[in-house]
Amino acid sequence: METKSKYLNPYIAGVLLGLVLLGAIYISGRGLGASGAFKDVVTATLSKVAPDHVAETPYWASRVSQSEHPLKSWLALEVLGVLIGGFISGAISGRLKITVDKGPRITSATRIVFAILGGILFGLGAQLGRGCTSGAALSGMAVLSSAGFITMMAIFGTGYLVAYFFRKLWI
Amino acid sequence: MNLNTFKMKSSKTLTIIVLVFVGFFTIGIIGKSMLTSGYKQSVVSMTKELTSEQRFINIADLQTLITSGNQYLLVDVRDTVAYKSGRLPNAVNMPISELFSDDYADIREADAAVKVLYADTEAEAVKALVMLMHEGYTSFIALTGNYSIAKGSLFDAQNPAEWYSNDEKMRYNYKSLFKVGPSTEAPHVAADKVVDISNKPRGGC
Amino acid sequence: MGPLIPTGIVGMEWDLFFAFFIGIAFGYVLEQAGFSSSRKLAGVFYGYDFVVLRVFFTAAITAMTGLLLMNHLGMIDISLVYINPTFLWSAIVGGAIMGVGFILGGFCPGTSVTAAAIGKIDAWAFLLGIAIGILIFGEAYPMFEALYYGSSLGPILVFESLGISAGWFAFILIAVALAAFGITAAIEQKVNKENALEDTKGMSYTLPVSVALLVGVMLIFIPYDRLTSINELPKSTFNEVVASNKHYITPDEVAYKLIYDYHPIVLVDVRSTADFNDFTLPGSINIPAEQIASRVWEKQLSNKEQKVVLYSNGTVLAEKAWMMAVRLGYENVYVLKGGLNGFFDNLVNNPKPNTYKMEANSAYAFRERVRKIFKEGKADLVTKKQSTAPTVSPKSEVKVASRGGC
Repeated sequence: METKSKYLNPYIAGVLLGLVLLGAIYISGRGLGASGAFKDVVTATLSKVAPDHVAETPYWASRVSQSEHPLKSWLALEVLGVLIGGFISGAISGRLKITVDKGPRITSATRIVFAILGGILFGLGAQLGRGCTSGAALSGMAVLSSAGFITMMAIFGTGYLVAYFFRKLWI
Repeated sequence: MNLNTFKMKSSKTLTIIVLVFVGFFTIGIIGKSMLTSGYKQSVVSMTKELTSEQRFINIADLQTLITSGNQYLLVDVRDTVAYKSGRLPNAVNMPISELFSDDYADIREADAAVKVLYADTEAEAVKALVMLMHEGYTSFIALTGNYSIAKGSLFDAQNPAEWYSNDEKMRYNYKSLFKVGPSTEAPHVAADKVVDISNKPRGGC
Repeated sequence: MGPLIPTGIVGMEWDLFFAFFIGIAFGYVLEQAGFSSSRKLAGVFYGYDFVVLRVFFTAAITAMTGLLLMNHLGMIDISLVYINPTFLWSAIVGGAIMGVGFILGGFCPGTSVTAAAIGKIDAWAFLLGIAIGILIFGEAYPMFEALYYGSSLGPILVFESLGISAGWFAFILIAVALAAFGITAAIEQKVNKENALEDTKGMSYTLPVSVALLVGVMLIFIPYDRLTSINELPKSTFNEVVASNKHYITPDEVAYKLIYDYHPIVLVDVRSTADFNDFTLPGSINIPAEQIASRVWEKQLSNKEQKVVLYSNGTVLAEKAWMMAVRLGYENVYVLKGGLNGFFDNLVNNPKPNTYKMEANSAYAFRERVRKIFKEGKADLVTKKQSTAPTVSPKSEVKVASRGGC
């Protein structure tokens, strides 16, 4: 018996995603992104919570000094769209469920801890690498920028290098 | 949903998407190649070369070239009458109106690594250069300055001051000749106002 | 034509609106592809599910192919598209950190958002982690600064770095991706005995693969340089237009315009911006000759009502820009004969004609008047309408064109 697939054929999804990316480039002259939006969120929150500290730290100060609100940015709006688009898709395909995705050999708590750790690294790396898998690697590859290919190879190369040591998390 | 129908559907979807995508561009490319006839160089690379130095030689460098013993060819693109009444030494004639006629095939195909185009004006030499580049002839360059400056400074009088002369050299202090009077104060204010207005709708979402 | 917003075809105010809808489409596709499941995502590193590789490469290739073709067809001006700048070491180190983050967290930022949207708690944890990570980076920024800005190579293109043409690179990338799809499918079948390839089964790939290869081969022959728009003039017509020498405007006509604002002329200074800022004729806009082919200036150059007159110090630079403009299909573009030098020649050396011909005498009188007006600077020669031109258009366009960033 064949197992039922819940998901779209990845090649079709890839072509569709490519067309979305092409649309973004054609309309706005820029690729997709994600991590930049979180920077905007963090900046906005920080400037609410600790405005003095923001003014003192050059990295944040340079971001709030612009007249526009940090959340009124292309990426922030786009990621808001991603959230809604994901929700719509999940609702249509019946995947809305509060749950924790994890490998068979770890507990949910372990999974959460490692998710946070992974998030921290990704947040840090995406700032340093000027964009994440979507902003730097995917969009960068589409416009044939060297940075896109270097970032892509660095992400997946390192991923394969360390995958063995963390196999317990996933298999 | 039945698995097989889903698979059938997705197979069709992929095929349709890809075909539409490919078809659209195929029609575009065929249409484009029918509408435009082949230039050998794109506008972008032409613009880059024309606005850089690489396709041009000034009179000082021409002299170096002449004395260096390297292969070169001086090509006079003025009409035959002008050519006959006076020319740079050893120059051959290829009138701009007949650049691609068979009579001048040997000049176009000549072995010389550098072929220097000149005319009565620098603009005329550049025109010839552009047309030749569009046809894929890559060994041509144009002389900055013009025939009379080149002849006067290089072969007759040897006046070094003219060696770097070219058409784009500023010959007047424009500002001193063109004073902006007090009556232009007002328009500057007006200009600022216009900027404001045009910026207004940008803010909205 | 495109990109629509940077070229000003669609107003800037729509930018965020489109961002939102592009985001929805992005999120929808990611979720449909199964990117909301960290187990599926992590599978790419352990060989039990290569969905990431499939979607990622197919998307990159589709977008790249589309962009190359659009560029070729003149549908998009690639110089206005944001190209990620390359900072070698920060890209490598940042990428490496992200790689470890991928293994630990099982998500990347975009996918974690879709997963969070459908209720994955681990995705929310990952998002929290991202925020902390950014916070750490911001606080420890001085530590990273040298690395962050080190070895800057600018927005270089990968095929140029490799020394091959864009078309060949695209072809190789497509071929490599297709090979990778085949190999990973085989690996997946070995590693994941239970439900390998469950997403990709059930259809024939002969047609898509052959079409992809065909497109790849086609790309080899497509140059990356902008091949102009569909309006590009055929070569024979171009040569005729260039040879006919009908494209010159006399200095008198320009002077007349400056004094009376009567002649319908748009003045375009094609010299560098520095020269333009130092001195320019009133009412001119600045389009440096190197930028003549950029679509930013399409609107100004395709003016149908007014003659567009290009000028530089002499004739040559304007002539070069003019030839490119003609080739691009702009029909109403002219050159100021003699340029600024000629313009002032006309006024400074204005010989009194030794004749009773009315034409010559009135021309002489006119130039004398113009010279007086310009020299003494008391003319009302700059009308309001003219002087707005240089300040408004170029600045606002440039601002739009230099956007981007992640």
